[in-house]
Amino acid sequence: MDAKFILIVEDNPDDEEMTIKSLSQAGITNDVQVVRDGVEALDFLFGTGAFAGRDTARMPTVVLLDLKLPKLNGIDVLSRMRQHELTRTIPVVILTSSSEDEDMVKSYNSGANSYVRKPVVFADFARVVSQLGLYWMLLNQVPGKQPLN
Amino acid sequence: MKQSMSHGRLVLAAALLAACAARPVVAWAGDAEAAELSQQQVEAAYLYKFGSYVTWPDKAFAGPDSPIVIGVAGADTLADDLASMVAGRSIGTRPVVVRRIHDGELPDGVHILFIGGARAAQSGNLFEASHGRPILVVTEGEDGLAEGGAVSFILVDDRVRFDVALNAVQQNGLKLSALLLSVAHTVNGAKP
Amino acid sequence: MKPRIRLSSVRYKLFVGVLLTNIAALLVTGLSLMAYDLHTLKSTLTTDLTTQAALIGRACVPALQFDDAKVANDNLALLQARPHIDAAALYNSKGVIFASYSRAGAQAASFPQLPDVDSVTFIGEYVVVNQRIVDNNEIVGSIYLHAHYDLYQRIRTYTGILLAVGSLALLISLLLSTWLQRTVTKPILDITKLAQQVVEKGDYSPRAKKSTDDEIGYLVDAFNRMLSEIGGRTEALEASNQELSHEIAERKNAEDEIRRLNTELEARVQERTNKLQEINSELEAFSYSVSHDLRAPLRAIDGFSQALLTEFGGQLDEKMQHYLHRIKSGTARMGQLIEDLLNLSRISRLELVWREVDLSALGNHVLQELQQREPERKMNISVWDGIMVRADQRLLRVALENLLGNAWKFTGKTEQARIELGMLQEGERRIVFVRDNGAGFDMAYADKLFGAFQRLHGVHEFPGTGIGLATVQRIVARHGGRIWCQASPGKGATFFFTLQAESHPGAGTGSEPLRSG
Repeated sequence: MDAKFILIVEDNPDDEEMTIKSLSQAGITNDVQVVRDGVEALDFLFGTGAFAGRDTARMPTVVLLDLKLPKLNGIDVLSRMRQHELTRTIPVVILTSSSEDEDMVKSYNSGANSYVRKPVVFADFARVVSQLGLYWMLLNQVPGKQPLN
Repeated sequence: MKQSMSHGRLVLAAALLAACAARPVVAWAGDAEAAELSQQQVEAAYLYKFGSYVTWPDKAFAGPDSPIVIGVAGADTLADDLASMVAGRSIGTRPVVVRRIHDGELPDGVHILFIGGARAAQSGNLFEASHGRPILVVTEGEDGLAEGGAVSFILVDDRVRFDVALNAVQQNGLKLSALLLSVAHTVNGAKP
Repeated sequence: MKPRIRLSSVRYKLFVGVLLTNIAALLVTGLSLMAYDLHTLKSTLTTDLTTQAALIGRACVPALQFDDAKVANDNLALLQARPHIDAAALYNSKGVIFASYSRAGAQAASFPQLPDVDSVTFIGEYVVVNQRIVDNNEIVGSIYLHAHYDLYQRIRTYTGILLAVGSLALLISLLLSTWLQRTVTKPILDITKLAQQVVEKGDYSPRAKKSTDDEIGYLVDAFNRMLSEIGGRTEALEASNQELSHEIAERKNAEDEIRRLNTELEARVQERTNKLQEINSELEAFSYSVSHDLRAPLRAIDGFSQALLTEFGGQLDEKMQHYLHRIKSGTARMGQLIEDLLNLSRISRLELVWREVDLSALGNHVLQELQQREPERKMNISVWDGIMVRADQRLLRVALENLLGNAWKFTGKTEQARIELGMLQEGERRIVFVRDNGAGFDMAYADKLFGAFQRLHGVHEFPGTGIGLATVQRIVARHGGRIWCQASPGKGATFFFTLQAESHPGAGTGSEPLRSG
């Protein structure tokens, strides 16, 4: 399967649904894979655990990563991804409720491509997510991959 | 020879030396050995020395410096010896004079009268003339005193000694020194 | 090492002195006496012997003159009555021995061959007399006498006497010395002993006994005076020393107490700090939780309300839609409140970074942002040029955002709105002010102005959370400064603040207002 897809790492089902809703409202209908914690995210990416046997050649175009996650937090997931050859170049956008400077600095230091705060107001949230989706899915070029259109 | 003589003694010694006809004192011994004195010479010396032991009454002399006159009768040689012996000598302050008493001459002004043995027999008048006068009458021989002498020379062991008859001395108003009596052979009459 | 005083030295010296004096006196006296006696003996002997010789000579004159050796011998034999004359000889005028005498018992005398000149000769213990016999200025002979006298015996006797007297003198000296020691030396020795005691024991209380009224008595008095003087001074010194050591001990106790209190305080501070850190970290966790977890439900409420409106708008009546809008505005407001609270807490926790900040430039920047947000508003802006302050730039920016933002907000209904940012110099103090001609407020409520969630205007009139001025006040306080205001309703408000008690030379004091769009 050559279709681009987005990996959403989000433990809050409300945020998950709103993110997906926002993306679809922006016209981004690509496949979306959702995982609920850090361990699951890494299992998915490396084809281990519950995702054993998954074709790891097929990687998400962008990962929307929450920071506050069960089991393994966002910064740890990001660090593992940046250490591994397979996942090193995958764009990672931190999508979080935290507006703490410390979190932002940590994220960038660990190799985040972007840091986006989730606004409380849905309209703002939808705007941010749709912009992100458009940018990463349609405009951004990743080494070895041809952009769509 | 010691030289520790005082000044006074030096003067005396000088006088004595002069008296000894300038003979040194050490020459005494030689002098003694040279000549053995004759009896007459000894007797002459004794006569002269008697003068020192006799005290005459003051009237016997004319003055304090009047000489002591020794008269010699009947002994010319002795008289000569005596004369030469007393020449320049004195007893005390008085010079000594020797006078020969010739025969028949009276012993006037004589203080000591020696009557030699040779004349004694015929000299009775001399004894008599002397009697009671301040004259020391000296004779010779054992009999001298008996004849009237006050002092008489005798020979004892070949040495000249003399006897003294004190009464004869006293009769003539004379005094004899005890020192003289101590050396007399015998003293008759009064005790010394 | 302490020099040992020789107690015996004075006594010893006195003793030796007395002894030596005595011995010297005795020696001189004894020797003088002996010399005088020997001299007298000799001259007496000389006189005696020469007289004897003269007498015998005189007696022997007739014997010599009339050559009577017997009489001469008899005369010489009379010398038997003079036991010290050992031998005698009579020489005649020719220098030949005429008579002789040897005392019975005496060893056979040897007579000189020749008579000697007049002389008295002492040979050791013997005396030899030669004398001429002169009669009537004539030498009639010479007499020789040989006598002994007890020279050595006499010397021995004298020596014996000297020794005996010396011993006696020594004894007397000893007694004298003892007496001297008792009357003269003893007081000195007592003082010496006392001095030694004082030196060894450091006790100044004993006194020397005054037993005499002489120089030693004076010495005793002087010594006693000196002792009492020293004793007094020592006591004073000891007292002051004791006082001092007492003071030192007290001070040490106080220091110990202070140290103990300090330690306690440190422990308490540490404890408090620990607690504070605990609370801080709890607060941080709380903030984080607020930041994340409180907002997520709000987002859901807003999001799903929006979804209802968007997806089912046609099925909802007007009232339903109104309620959904009310829900949405409530969540938005709460989101803003959470945001402001988080800012406030962040300001409190942030570590200050002091540096020179161009307040004029910062103010202009903030006002430009406000203008961009509402480009339709016409605002008369006056920012003084070159205001330099020493502050944390991030916090100062937040403060200006709030103050200028307020000014912007409260001039929203004012014709010919005007905002001024400037600085006053009041002695050493520099006061930054933000002035507007907006709505203003009643000064009666000024004290409530800087508390969190305090608002003087209705939300509908001027929107806001009431946290802005609280935030500014905290920022100013963190810079060691003070904030106050001057306002009246309808005539605008002026906010003044200082950043630090001390002034900052080199900071610009531009007075020409800068006008910008």
